[in-house]
Amino acid sequence: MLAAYLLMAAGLVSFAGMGIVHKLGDRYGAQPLGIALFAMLTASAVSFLYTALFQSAAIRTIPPRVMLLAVPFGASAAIGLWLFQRGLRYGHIATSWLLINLSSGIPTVLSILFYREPLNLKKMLVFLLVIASLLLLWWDRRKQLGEEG
Amino acid sequence: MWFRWMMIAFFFNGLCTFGLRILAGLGWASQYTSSYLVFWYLAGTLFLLVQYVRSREKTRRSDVVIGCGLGLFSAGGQTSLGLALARGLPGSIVFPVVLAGGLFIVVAAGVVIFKERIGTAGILGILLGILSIVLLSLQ
Repeated sequence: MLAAYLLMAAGLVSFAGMGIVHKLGDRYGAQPLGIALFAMLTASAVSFLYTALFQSAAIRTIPPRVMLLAVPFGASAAIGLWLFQRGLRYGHIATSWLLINLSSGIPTVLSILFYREPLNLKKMLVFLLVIASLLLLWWDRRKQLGEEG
Repeated sequence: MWFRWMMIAFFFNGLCTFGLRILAGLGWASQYTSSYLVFWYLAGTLFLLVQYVRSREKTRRSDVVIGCGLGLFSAGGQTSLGLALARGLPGSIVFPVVLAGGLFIVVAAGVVIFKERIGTAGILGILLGILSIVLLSLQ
């Protein structure tokens, strides 16, 4: 069980590391498009290696529909990554990283709309909290810009 | 300007994981998730490569180092998460700890290391946001 906890800690460090590396990219003047491209390229190589080593049969028999499905959503991830790094120039990592993580509510909304998943009280509470959080972050940034003149 | 860029990124970043839900709906998630992710990353790479060539930007060392670092943290994080779950830790512990804990570390780094100033509304927004992510990850 200790190994599982260590893996969870590694996940925690990696997840936090991503946010900090985004900020370092902004601090050292790296180009948003270049960062996004090399991040995607590295992740492509790692995911390909992993699949080739551990699930080689699945990649050989992948149906064309699965490949086609990956195209628009992969492009969407690329746009999200690129524009996040671009927007970071104008704001703080503390609030930007939270905002981008709140987007995990979007697939839940889409699942309710397209797959008729039930909208229970807990999900409604989450959506209200996400909206309230976004409004507060927007208000805070607007106030800061007003103070900076 | 910040909020506009972030909201567009918010939309695309949220949309990009919905493909996995479609894959699950087709009954192919257990068999093809890792192969799907290979093509998912590849499609993103090709899209960005086209934009990069069109922009005629010169490649800087910082782009490569930061980009590769992000890619490694992303892949390492996903793998660690998956292996922790596979070794018996329940999702109700793993997801809130990794997602909310990671968020808390980044917020703390922003304030302590990068000296970012956050107002009362921002702090309240962060607390509500972390709470919503904890609740969302517990579903």
